[in-house]
Amino acid sequence: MKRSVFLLGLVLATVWAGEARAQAGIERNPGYVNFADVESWFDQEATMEVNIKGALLKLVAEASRYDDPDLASMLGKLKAIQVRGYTLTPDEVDGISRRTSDFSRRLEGQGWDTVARVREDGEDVHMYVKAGEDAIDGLMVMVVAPGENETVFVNIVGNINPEEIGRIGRKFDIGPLDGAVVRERGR
Amino acid sequence: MKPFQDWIDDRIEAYVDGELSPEDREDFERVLAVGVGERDVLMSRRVRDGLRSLPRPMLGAGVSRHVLEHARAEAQSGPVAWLRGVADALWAPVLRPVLSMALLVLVVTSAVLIGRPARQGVTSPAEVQRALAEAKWALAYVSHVGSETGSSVRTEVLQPHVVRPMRQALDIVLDEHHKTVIR
Repeated sequence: MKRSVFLLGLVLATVWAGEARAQAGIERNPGYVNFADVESWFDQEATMEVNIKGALLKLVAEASRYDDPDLASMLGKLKAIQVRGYTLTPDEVDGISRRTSDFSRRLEGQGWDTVARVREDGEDVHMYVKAGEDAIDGLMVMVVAPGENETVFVNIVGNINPEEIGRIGRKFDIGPLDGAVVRERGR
Repeated sequence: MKPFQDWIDDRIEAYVDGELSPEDREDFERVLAVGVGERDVLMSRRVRDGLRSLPRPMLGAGVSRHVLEHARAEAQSGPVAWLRGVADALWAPVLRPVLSMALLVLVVTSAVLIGRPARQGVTSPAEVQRALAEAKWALAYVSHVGSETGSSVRTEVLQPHVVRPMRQALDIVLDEHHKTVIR
């Protein structure tokens, strides 16, 4: 009995320590972007927030394995998916666009490569990738536009194949998610 | 002479019981052969046989139990017995759950101290499905933005780098043709 309790404690401690290291590890990943900076630009809470990482991301990958093995395989290689969505009035767009441009320069300074930077029809789009040694470690998309949930920041962390994301992502709908999501998840 | 007698006395019992080594037995029998110690050996054999013929005394039924109880009581009075008693008391059924909980609290506290955020509850299948929908949405969004910016970039690039130069080249060709016709 004594030995069983000791072993149980040891196993729990090992698992928790491993998870703690994994959580701390994602923030040290070169493809990870800390959204605390982005959030500080806005007076309001994000109207759409997605944080899928860690154990939840693994569960999501497994949940899709039967219906969509391609998606499961791709999700299995990812470390985190973060999304923030905001609703901006036309007056707020310029200020956030300026901050987004500053943030883009900072990303470039940190070794991120520009894939696209387009300003068209009042919409400001920035797309960056963080190249690793033999793969892409991170993808960052920033779209600033007036309207409900039109200003969106997406960060995908992990072993990324942009062509795969494009091909698989085309299959899904980008209609509004069910209800605004404002919460922490993936812990 | 006395050391020789001692040598004989030391070996008589062993000789009678057949426990001498072959060398000692040979030496001892050589001594007996000259008549020394023969009577002692005879006496010793009679005593041994006499003792063996006596009825064997039997222990009373309670003697073994009494001896064991006495030994146990003595063992329980020492410092080791005290420590064992303390350990048994700590591990008693009443304290066992308390100590187990204390161990778990210690493990949880350690996990918190090394920076792990508190678990917000077990992930339900509905949450997983919700997260899957969000992941699909994020991938679709990135794919959509990628294709949109791709077409925008193509438009932006085509105009200054392809359409305009071609138009200028065509203008030059038409100008040349026009000049030729006029001449």
